[in-house]
This record gives sequence, structure tokens and C-alpha cells, in this order.
Amino acid sequence: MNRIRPYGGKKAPPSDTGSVEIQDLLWNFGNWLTREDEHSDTIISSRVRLARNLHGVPFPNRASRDQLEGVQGNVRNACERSETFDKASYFEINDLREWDCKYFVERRLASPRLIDNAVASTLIIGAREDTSVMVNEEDHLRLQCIEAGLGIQDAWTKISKVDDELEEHLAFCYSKNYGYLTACPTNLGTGMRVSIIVHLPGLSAVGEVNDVIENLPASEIAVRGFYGEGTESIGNVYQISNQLTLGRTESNVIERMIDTASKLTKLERTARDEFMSKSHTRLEDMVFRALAILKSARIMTSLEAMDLLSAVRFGRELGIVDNISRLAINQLMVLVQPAHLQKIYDRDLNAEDRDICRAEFIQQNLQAL
Amino acid sequence: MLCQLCQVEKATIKVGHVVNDKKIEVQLCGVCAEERGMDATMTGLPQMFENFITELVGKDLLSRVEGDSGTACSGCGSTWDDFQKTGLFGCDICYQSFHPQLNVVLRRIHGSNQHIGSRPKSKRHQISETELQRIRMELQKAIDNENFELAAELRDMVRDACQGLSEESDGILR
Ligand SMILES: [Zn+2]
Ligand SMILES: [Zn+2]
Repeated sequence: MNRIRPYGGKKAPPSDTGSVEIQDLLWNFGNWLTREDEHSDTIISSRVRLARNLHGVPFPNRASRDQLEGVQGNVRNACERSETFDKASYFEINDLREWDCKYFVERRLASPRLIDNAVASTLIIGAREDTSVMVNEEDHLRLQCIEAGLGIQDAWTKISKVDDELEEHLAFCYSKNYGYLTACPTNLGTGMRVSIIVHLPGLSAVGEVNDVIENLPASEIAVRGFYGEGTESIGNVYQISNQLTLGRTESNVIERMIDTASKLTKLERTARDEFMSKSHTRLEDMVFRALAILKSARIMTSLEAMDLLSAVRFGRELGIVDNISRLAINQLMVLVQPAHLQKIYDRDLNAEDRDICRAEFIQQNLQAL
Repeated sequence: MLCQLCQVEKATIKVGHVVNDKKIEVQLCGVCAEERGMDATMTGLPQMFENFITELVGKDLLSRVEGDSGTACSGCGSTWDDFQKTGLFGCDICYQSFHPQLNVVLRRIHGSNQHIGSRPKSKRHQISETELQRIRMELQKAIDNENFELAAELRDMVRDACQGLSEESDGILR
């Protein structure tokens, strides 16, 4: 039971209710969790997001409920007439249960702000989960596309197509001087934010990760990590994204991002090889210890799971463990998040129940190792 | 260190953000971390802090720009004070209403106050692709070399090429 299934595996029976659609999404991973490219050893996913607002309506922070509902209606209308969102799912945030909202956030389809603005906000998810639209987040529209590996170019192509399709039916706020007008001037201009999630266990193992992330990225590119007790980001996962949106063309930003990501990949690969050749036993020790805990622990927090799964992923990339796929590990990292577990077990769990379920779920999925 | 969100609990988790040699750290307690979905691992984490950190950085930049706090936007009634508090404008007309202060802010945030990226489809105009591509490449080079004067000129060329005769006024809105 509860094994990770490949896309197209288990499908919930079709129904008109929103919640079954949500359950259906659970096992039907989108592109970024089912595809790989030549950078997938290091780069987990790439996302391109565009901020847009409708002409003649105050931005969400100043709009009345009626106005926000008007935006919802207009955007839905435009999406329904577009090619990309022909078979989309529409979720009114207001109608969703709290765990469903968290689940969309974990799946990277919704932001916490969208959930907070629940007065009149909508999440629109295209087929295969790769393109989505948040309605009435900080801006009227946030269009996003997520692709596997370093698929920035693909994500950009898809999301500009969405942009064009929606513009057939919607008038976006645009000025000659300032470009696309956004609620926050940090998004002004292109309204484009590109972000890449990278896994850097090698640089971390050789003790270079902080140095690299502080010095490598081109100017105007930010690196973010998430730290618990240690000095390295939990799970050795970092996010890099462009900072600026005005006075740069989209292609310039995309090029810089690809360039930085490629350099990071190269450094990470060198570090992995170095650690592998110089500290083979330490590497094995680290990976097998992680596996042993994952396979026998009875209670596991999501942060601990993240760190241990990161070590297994590291071991897999270097051939220390071989009967688990990279995609299965990536999917597992997503599925062990709190709201995902809640959906998998389909009953109310408190924090401790969740940690117990998480340990059990991981065990079931790692039995073969 | 106290949690930077609630200012009550002890911080146990931090988010580091490095840009242009500057390192910014946000320290949070377990409760706030959970509330913000920080116990969601790989996928949720980085994304949810995008807005939060941008806000912090934005507020820092804004606090140093003086504006006429009494003037209200004719479109939505927002004042410069409102903007400084929230970091958000209330409507598209705000960009007109606060034009003078805005140029300072934009230069601080982006190092520029001129859009050179793509435009809505309805404002594009068919011209020779190769010609446009050539100008764009030059434009790119000019930007890379931080030759903003040339970039501005080339940008106008691209714009004119795309637009034929400008149907837009210099105003912010159509
Ligand atoms: Zn707190
Ligand atoms: Zn306004």
C-alpha cells in the first residue's frame, strides 16, 4: 500500500467534487516530478512566474470584494477560452479545507499569500500540473510554469504562450516606461521571477557550499537556503532566483540564470567526485546510516526526513545505492510533507501522528533497498 | 535571538538569503515556521519566503525615501505613507501619482527606471525578425556592458520598430 506510483498509475474515480480531484492530483505528478534532463543530478526544478494585473481594477490589496470577484470571473472566462487551460481544474480557495490549501502550497501550486487572501482567490491548474494561475494573490494574476531540471527555456516558452492567450481576453496594466505594473515595485517591468531548486550535497560534504553560494552567483541573482541547527541548508537544497525585473529583458535574465545554474552544476559535480574519491568510506557511512534510520525509525519529522533523503539522493547519484530512481526520491521528498501525508492517510492527524505516519510511509517505500 | 515574525518565541530556524555579496538572515521560531509552512520540506520552503524576504528588503529601501505623505492617489486613495507601510501600491494609477518619488525607489531597487522587456501581444507589431533580432542582440550587449545610454537608444529602436507610429502617449496608462 501507499507505494509511490508512476504517473498514470493509480487514479481516483472521476467525480464532480473538488476534493476527489485533489486526491487524484496526489499521485499524478506533474512534469517537474516525472521528467529528467541532463542537469537533473543537481537541479531539481525550474520555475518561471509572471505577475500581471487587470486594467481599471485596483490591485488585490485595495480592491473591494465585488471587484475581486469580478477579476475571478474574468480570469476564469479567459482561461476557459485558452488552449492551455482547456482542461484545467479550478479551485476557489474559500471552498477548500485548510489541509487542501496547505497541500497546494507544498505542491508549489499556491503561495501562502493566496491562501491568506481567501476572500476571493482562485487557483487554476492546467493539465499535468506544469502551468498554473493564482488569481488575486498579491497581483490579480500570477502565472507560473514549473519544469524538471534546468528547463527554464521550456517553462518560459510555455508561460509566455499562456500570457499571450490570456491577453486575447484580458487587458493587462502596462506602461511604456514601467512595463507590466505590479502591486509591489520589486516585480515591476517584466513581472518575471525565475527560480531554480538545486541540490548541493557534494559542495556541502567538502565544506565549500557557503563559500560557493555567497560568491558564485552573478550579480542580481539571489541564493536562498533554509537552516535549522546546522550551517548548511536543510536537505542541502537551495533556491536561486533573479532579483530584478526592471531594465532587463526576459532573455537576459534567463541567460544569466542558466549560466549561474550551469556553473553551480559543474562545481557540484567536481565536489561530488572529489568527495567520492577522497572519502569513499565516509560517503558510504553517511548514506547507509541515513538509509538505516529511514528504514527503521518509528517517528520522523519532516526536517529529519529531508536531511536523510538528501543523503540517499547523494548516494544514489554516486552509485552507492542503485535500486531507487532519482525521481522516486524526489517524489518521496514531496510526499512526506505534512499536508501530503494528511492526504495519503486521508484522516485527521496531529503532529505526532504525522511523524509516525511519515516514518511508516518512508519505510514502505524504501523496503526494496 | 527572538523570532523576527512574532517577536515572542525563541528563534530556532533561519532562512539565509544572499544577493550581491549581501547576506540577509531571517530567524524564526518553530511556531511561526510551521504557520508559514516551513515544516513543509523541499518544495514549499524556498517559494514561500520569496514574498517575505522581498518585503523586508523592500521596506528597508523604502524607509529612506521621503514623500509628500499627504498626497493621495486619485485612483485608489493610497498615500505614500500607505506604500511605505505595506510596500504595495493600490492600483495602476499609483505609478502616476507617485511618479517623482518612484523614480528614486526604482533606481534603488532595480538600478533602472525604464522597462526594456517584452510588451503585451496587442502592442507588438510585425517587422522583419532578423532585423529585430540584430537590434536585440546589440541591446543585450549594451546591457551586459552596462552601457545604459546606448541600451536606452536601442530599446527605443526596438520599440519604434515594433510599434510603427506610437499610439501611446508618454503617460503611464493607455
Ligand atoms: Zn515566531
Ligand atoms: Zn492608486
